Amino acid sequence: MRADVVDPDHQVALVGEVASGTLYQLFVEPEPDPVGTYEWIGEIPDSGTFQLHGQTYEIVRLEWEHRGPNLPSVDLYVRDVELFDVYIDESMWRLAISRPLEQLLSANGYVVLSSKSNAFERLERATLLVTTEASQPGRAARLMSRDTIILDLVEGVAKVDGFNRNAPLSIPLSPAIDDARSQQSPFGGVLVVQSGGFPRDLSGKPVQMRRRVPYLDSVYELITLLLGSTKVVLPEPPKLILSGSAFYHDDLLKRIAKDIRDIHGLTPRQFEELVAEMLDRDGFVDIVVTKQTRDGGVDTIAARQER
Amino acid sequence: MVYGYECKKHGPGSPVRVGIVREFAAALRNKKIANGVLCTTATFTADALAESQVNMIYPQDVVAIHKWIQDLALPES
Repeated sequence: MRADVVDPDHQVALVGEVASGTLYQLFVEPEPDPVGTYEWIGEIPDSGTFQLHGQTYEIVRLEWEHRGPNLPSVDLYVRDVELFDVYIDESMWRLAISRPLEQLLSANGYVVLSSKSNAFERLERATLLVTTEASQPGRAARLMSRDTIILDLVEGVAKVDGFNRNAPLSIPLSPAIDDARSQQSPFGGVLVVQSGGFPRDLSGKPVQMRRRVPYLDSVYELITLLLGSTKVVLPEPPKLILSGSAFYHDDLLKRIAKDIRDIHGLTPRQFEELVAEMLDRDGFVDIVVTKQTRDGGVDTIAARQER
Repeated sequence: MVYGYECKKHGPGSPVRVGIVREFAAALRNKKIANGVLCTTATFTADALAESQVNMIYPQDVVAIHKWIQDLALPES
């Protein structure tokens, strides 16, 4: 519980129906998007309950972060349903619902794959997109191209062989469930996977960021289960392991040691690698530098052996 | 003991602000890493330092980084 970081200056609103598993959009003043049929529920309390469509939702946790003056972010957790931020805009948060694997498996949804860049506007990296919105693939593709509706909620990459780069590929999540039943399903599901343009580590292997590891693992499990026979290859966990190798020579460290101002000549990435190198020299083991394309993760994970 | 490191390459006039600390704290929680170290080539705002303490994150500003480098690179001096 992080009630102390709740920002009292912002009002937020949820849009959509919780019960039907649609996407939520959370808007923040002073510039909520005036377009659309947004349903304001007023200020979300940092704890307690709020009402939506006659149903009461108990807030388990509401976490505010500020990535910059105009980049607030919020993680909202309500009972039985987790809502969290995936994309931050100056005036808008886009939220989605995560659900347990069993619920996704029981949903009548689709896996949508696309590497067409304009199908995922504003997404600069290979991204695994998941939404639980009950949707037809055509609709999902339309939603993807629209700036105002975002479907992503977790990050990751998937490598897909031999699919049309210019057309989203849709694969039913649960082929056994027909469309008629999907209308009744409270847990519609769509998986959206963008392929291509992987960030790569120094050895050329795809690198991915795993911000929400437990959930992402379940998504991988799900995709592997569903698409294992359709040439979807999920990359190994993204790691750049510094196994005792030195990125920097002594002279650079010595130069910085003598004049700290030289450190400002490094790029952010080089600074990360420098710290990793120092950890290595300091006796840390299992140093893993995580490649990131957006802030919000952990740059480096290192372990110190107990002595 | 596992540590998570976050490195912020900031200019001297751009201290690490509290939002970055919170973001890092959230990332650590997500990864279930108990120990966090936030390294920067700049300094920290007072709020950021306070938030670091709340979240058990070790802030390493440019002075600390410099000393660390000196310890490693110039062990004899």
